[in-house]
Amino acid sequence: MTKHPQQKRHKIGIEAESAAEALLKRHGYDVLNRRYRTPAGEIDIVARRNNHISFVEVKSRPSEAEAIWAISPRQQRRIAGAADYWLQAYPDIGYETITFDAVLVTHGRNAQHLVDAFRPY
Amino acid sequence: MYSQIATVAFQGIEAKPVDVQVLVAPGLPSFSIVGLPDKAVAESRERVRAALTAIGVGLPPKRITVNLAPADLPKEGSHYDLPIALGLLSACQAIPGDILLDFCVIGELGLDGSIATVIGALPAAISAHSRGMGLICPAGCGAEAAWAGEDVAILAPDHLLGLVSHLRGSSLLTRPIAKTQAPPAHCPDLKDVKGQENAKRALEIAAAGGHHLLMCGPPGAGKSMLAQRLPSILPPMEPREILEVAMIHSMAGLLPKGRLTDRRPFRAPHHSATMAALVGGGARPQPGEIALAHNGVLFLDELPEFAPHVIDALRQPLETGETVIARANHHISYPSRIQLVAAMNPCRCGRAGEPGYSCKQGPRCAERYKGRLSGPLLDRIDLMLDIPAVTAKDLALPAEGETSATIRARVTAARMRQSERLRALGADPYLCNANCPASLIDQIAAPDRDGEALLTTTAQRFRLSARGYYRTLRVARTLADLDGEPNVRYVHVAEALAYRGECTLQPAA
Repeated sequence: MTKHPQQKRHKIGIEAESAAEALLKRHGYDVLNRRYRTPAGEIDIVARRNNHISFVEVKSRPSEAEAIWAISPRQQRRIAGAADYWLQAYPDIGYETITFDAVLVTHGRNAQHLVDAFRPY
Repeated sequence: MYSQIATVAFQGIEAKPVDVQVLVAPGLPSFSIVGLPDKAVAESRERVRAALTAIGVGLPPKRITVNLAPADLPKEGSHYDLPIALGLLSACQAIPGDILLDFCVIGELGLDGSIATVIGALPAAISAHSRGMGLICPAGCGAEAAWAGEDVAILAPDHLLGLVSHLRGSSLLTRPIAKTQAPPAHCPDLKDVKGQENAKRALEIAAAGGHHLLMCGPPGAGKSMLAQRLPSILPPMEPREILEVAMIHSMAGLLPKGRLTDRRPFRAPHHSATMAALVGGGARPQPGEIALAHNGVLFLDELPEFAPHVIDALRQPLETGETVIARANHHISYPSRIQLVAAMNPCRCGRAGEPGYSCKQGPRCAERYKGRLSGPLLDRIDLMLDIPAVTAKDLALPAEGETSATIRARVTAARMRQSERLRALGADPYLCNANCPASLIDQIAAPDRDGEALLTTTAQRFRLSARGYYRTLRVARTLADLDGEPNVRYVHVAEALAYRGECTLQPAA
């Protein structure tokens, strides 16, 4: 019996997020939150390295350009709104810089981390 | 990280000091500009972002706030790009901030990091000099800014990278050189005009005393030609006047390559000009034609064709010597000491008053046409002249009229006498008989007994206003100066009265 397409996409998504997390840990990041949900939106991964906080959106697409285009302005605003919530929820976290990153996961290739992928403001 | 860069906001020809304060703080990446920026200033964000990316630096992923202080003064113009970019670079410590403390910065940025020209470099340089600072301006404005003085430091880069290298000490920008305009190859000369000796005499009087002149005559008589030759008999400007004119033209973006000239401005707007074009203002408070003719000549050809409210807007500057543009919360004034020269036809078809000709529309045509000019405006005009058509005999004769150079010598001599007289009395020596203070007229233009008797009788019979009385005295004073005489005599008063419009019209019954 073939799996329901939605379930298949869901499984790919979870696999992609795990791959992204592994990539970030290899690059020295601490993963603070996964699937952080707020009334304004959701963030796939919140990670920190030294004084820098990354709000990461994980995408599995065939190419880098498509991954960036897949983060629509509406989605960017939702991630930004969620980031506001997160910053208020953790007021004691010290940081110097914040970026909105993307991790691109493609089947058959290594995962890519795109720092400062978009600026929603 | 905080940094502050000095710049200016333009109000009229005055450049008010403005501080660009840049704060780069931790937080979600954003870039906002506050301090009442207008649309062009708000768009600075995009240009600064692109220019910084073009030179390889980019915007730091932090919360950037730019404040343009004082915060209640509306900021207009695109010259804030460069100070904002430098403030950002200084706040991120990409360039040393101490050198920038001694400079005022203006400039517009292109998306590739190039620095585009802006208006107002000369007023900005003078404002910076008065605060003891140098000026950083676009390369295209450097020549203009160099006129502010030898001791003003001027940096005129054409690209943001060039400026950054200079500030870091790895390369050096040379100081721009102040240049003057080359004189035009062919100057119109009064000897080109054949006949019309009366008109040439009136032109000489107008030039000598700065008087306003109205010429009325049929089409083709030579009115426009005569008016265009007025600048050729006017004396060249003194340094103070050159600077004033340069500042006004700089605000209108009319200084070609920053070159100054000592030839007086000659502005001839078309009669479809709007009030904003003539007086100034509009969306951005730029100088109008009247201000651009400061220290020079404003020529209005076909005067009755101008919209009435536009001509009446002239009355105030003719009287006070400045145009004031009122905005919601402040006034801007431009100096506008002009000499008005106007030309008109006597009626719609242009041939009223010609002997042996009767207009189809009857005698009322000429009255109606002349009626478009308001009385108060005509009252301010000192010399009113009828210019008849040139006869064929005059055209065919090989004209041996005087050259402009000869007439200019007489005009300059008369102006020098006026200037010295005013200086001796403690008044501004740059004024002339037409616009010197009213309180001095009784002193300097007192006619002899016969002259005064003539003036009083004529004033009564032709119902001269008080202004008309004193303007006649001013013209008489100029006539005496042209003759080189210290006192105003009967002949001078008589000739001055002949030019007075009321006296050429019908006397009061």
